[in-house]
Amino acid sequence: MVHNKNNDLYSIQTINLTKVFKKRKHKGIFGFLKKKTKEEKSGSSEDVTVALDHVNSEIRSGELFGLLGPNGAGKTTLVKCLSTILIPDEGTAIINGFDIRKQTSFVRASIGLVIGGERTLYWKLTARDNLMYFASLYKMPRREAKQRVEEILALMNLSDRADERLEDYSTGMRQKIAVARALLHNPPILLLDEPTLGLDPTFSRQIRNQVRELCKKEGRTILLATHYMKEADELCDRVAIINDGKIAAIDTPERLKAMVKETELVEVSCYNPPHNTEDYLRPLCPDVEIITLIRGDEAKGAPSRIKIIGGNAEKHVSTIVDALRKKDAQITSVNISMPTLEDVFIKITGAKLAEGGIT
Amino acid sequence: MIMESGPQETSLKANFFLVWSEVVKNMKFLMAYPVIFIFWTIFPFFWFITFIFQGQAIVGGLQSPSFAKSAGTSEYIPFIIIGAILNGYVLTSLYGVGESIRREAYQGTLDYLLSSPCNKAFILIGKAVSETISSTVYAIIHLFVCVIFFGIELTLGVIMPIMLILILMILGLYGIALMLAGLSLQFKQAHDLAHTLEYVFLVFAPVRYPLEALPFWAQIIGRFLPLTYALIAVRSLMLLKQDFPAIYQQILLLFVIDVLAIFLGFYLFNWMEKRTKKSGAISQY
Amino acid sequence: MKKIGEYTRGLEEVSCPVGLSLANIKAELRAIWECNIKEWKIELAYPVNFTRQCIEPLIFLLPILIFALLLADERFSANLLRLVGTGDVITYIVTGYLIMGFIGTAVWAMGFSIRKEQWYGTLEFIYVTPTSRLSLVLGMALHSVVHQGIGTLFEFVVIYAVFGLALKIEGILPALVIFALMMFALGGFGIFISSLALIFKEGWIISEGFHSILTILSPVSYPLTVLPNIAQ
Repeated sequence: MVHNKNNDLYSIQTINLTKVFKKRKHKGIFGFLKKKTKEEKSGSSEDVTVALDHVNSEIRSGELFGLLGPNGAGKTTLVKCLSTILIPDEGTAIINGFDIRKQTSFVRASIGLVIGGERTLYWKLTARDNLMYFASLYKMPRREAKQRVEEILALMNLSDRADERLEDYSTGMRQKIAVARALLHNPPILLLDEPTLGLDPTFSRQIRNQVRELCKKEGRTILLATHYMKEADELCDRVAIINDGKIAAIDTPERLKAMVKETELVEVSCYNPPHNTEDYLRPLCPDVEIITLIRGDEAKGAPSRIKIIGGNAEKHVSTIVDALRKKDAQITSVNISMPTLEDVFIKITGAKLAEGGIT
Repeated sequence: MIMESGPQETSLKANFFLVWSEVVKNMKFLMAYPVIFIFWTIFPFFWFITFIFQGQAIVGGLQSPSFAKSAGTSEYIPFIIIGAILNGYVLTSLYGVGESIRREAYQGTLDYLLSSPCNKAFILIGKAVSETISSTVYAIIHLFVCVIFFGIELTLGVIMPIMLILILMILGLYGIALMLAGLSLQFKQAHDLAHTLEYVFLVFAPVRYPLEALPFWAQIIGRFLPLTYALIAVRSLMLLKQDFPAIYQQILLLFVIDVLAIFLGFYLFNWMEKRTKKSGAISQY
Repeated sequence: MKKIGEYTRGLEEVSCPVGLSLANIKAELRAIWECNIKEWKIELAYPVNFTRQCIEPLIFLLPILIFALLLADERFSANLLRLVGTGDVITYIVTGYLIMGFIGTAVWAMGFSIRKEQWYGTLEFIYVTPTSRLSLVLGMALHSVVHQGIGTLFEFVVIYAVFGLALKIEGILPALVIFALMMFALGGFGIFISSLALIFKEGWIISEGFHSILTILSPVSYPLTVLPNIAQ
C-alpha cells in the first residue's frame, strides 16, 4: 500500500494520469483528394480529445469512492487506465502498491472489474463454465476455483441456475454473474464502471446493496464510476466530480452539497394556517433562516404554503407539523428540498443538465 | 382532435422513396468503408488466378483439348473468368441481403424497421437493388480488366443479350436471397446459411467446369440454379460465338426459375417474419 | 514466510505466480487448456456451423479437383510430370491443399481469435486477468489446429475413398516432421495476423488478403515454376 504523510493507507493513487485520444474525421471515399486545411496541417488541439487531464487522486483502503460525471467526462477512461486495459499517455497509478505501468500482472491480480452493459460474458456458456474459465485466467488452482465458484454462485443466489446458458438469463442475472466474476480471486480492490446500467430498480438495488456489503463488511476498496447521482450519494464515502477529464472536486457527499448556497427548503402546504404563522413558528425553530407564509386562494382550492428555509430545516419538520395541527391547520403536503449532487455538479462545472448532464 | 389512424394506402411514390432511401443508406454504408469497396474490386481476381496457374501447370499452354470435350471450348481461361465474374454476383447477393438483415438485428434497428407501417418487401427490394448496383460496378471493372489483360473478347452485339441474362439471373438470386433472409430471421445463423448456399453454387453450378463434368444426380441439382443457365448462356454467346436464338432455351428456363424463386422467397420471408414476431426471436442474435 | 510468486501488501494478500516459477508455468498451461475448452464449448453450441466448417475444406477442394481432371487426360498430366516428377494431378493437388488448410487456420482462425473476443464483449475482461496474452492466443490456436485437423482428416478420408491417392507410407513420418516445423512458423504468423485484426476494424479483409496471396504464391495446386519470376 502507499502511505501518505499522515500514514493513511491508499489502495489507489493516481499521479498526473493523462490520456489523450486523436479524433477521427471521416472525409468520405474521396477525402484523400481534398486539400488539408491550415488547422489540419498544424495539428491543432481540436484534433485531439483529452479524456484524462493530469488526474491526481487517492483512495483509501476500505473506502467506497465514487466517480461522478456525465457521459464523456472520463470515468470509463480512468477505470480502464487503472485496470491496465488502456495505457496512459502521461503519469501513472499505484494500485495496491503496484505500478500500473511496470507491475501489470500484480495490478490485475489485485483488482476485480465490473463494467455495465449487455455483453461482457460468454452467452453460449453456462454461468459455471464462465466462472471456471475466468478462475483459470486468474491463475487459481482447479480445486480452489471449483470451491470458490460454488461459494460465489451461492452468494449470488444462482446456484440452481448455474448450469444454464447465460443467453437464457435476464440482464440482471447476467450482471450478477459479472460481479461474481470480479470477486472470484478475492481481490482487495473493485473497479465498478456503471454496474447498474440498464438494470431495473430491483436488480439495481440488489447490486447496490451488494456493493455496500463488499465495502463495509468485507473491507474492500471500491471505485464506483457512475452518472447516477443518487447512487453516488447513497453509497459513497467520498465522491470525485469529474468533467472533461479533470477532477473538479473530491469530498464526502455532505460536504460537497454544503458547498452549494441553496440550503434546505421545507415547504408545508395547508388550509387554515394559524394567525401570524411566522411569529408562531419562529420560536420553535430558532436556527432556520427564513419562515414565510404565502397565502393561497383557499376558496378556489389552492392551499397556503409555508416556506422554511435554511439551517437544518428538515430537522424541524415534525415540530412544525405538530404546531400547525394544534392550531387546526389542515396539512395537505410537506416537501423537503435538499441540495443534491447534481446541484453541486452544476455549480462546480457550470454544465447544464441538457448538455449531457447527470441523472 | 383525435387523429385517425390505421392502415392507409401507400402510394407508389412513397414505396419508390422507401426503396431509394434504403439504396442511399446502404451505398453510404459502403462508402463509409472504402476498404470493402477496394476489396471486392481486387480480390475476385485472386480467386480465379490460381485456376489459371493450375491450368498452366497441367496443360502447359492456354488451350486444352481434353477440356474441350465437355466444355465445347479448349480455352479454359475465358471459361473460368466468365464463371468468376458471374459467381461474384452470387456471392454479393447471398451475403449482401441476408447479412444486411442480420446487421440490422445486430445494430438494434431491425425492430424499428419491422414495426414501421411500410411494406417490408420494399425494404428488401431496396437492399437488393443496392447490392446489385455495387455488384454491377464490380463486374464492369472485372470485365474491363479481363478484356485488357486476359484477352476476353467482348463485341457490341453480345452486350444487350448479356444484360438481359444478368437481369434475369439477378432476379432469381433475389428470390434465393429473400429465402435466405427469411430463414436467417428465425435461425440466426445467417452466415452459415449463406455459406451453405455458396457451396451449392460452387459445386453444382458450372462456375469452373461444365455441368457435364458432374455426375448425373449432381447435374439435376445444378439445373435448379439460376446461375447455371446464366453461365451456359453467356459462355455460348462469348466463347462459342452462338446467336441469341441458340440460347433461347436457357433464357426461358431462367425465367421460370426466377418466377419460382421470387414467389418462394417472398412467401418464405413473410411466413418467417410472422413466426419470429410470434416467438419473440426477432431481435435476438 | 514469503512464498515464491506470492506477495503481501498492506492488509490484503495478493497471490499471483509470475515468471518461470513452476506455479506460473502450470497456471499458464492450464489457461491455454481452458481457453481451448472454452472455444470448443462455444463452437459446439452452434452445431450447424461446426458441421459446415468440417466439410468446408472438402467443398472448396472439389471444384479444383474436377477442373484438374477435365484438363488432364485420365488424371495424368505429362506437363506436371515434367515439372515436379509426378503426373498424378489428384494426389499433387490434394497433398498441397491439405497443408494449405493449416495456413488458412493461422490466417483465419488464429488471426481472428482476439477479434472474436471483442465480438463476444469479453476482450477487456480477459485482458484484465494476470494470464499472459500469449497464453490466450495459444489456447485459441490449439482449438483452431485441432478443429482443422478434424476437417483435414474428413477431407482425406473422402478424397481417398472417391479418388484414391498415390501416397508412399515411408514418406509419411518425414512429412509429419516437416509439418510440425511448419506449425511453429504458422503460430507466429497467426499471432501477427491477430494483432492486425485487432487494429483494423475490417480485419477480415486483411486475413482474406493474406490468405489469397499465400494461396497464389504457394505451390498448392501448381508448382512454383509456373508463376512469373517475380512471384516465384
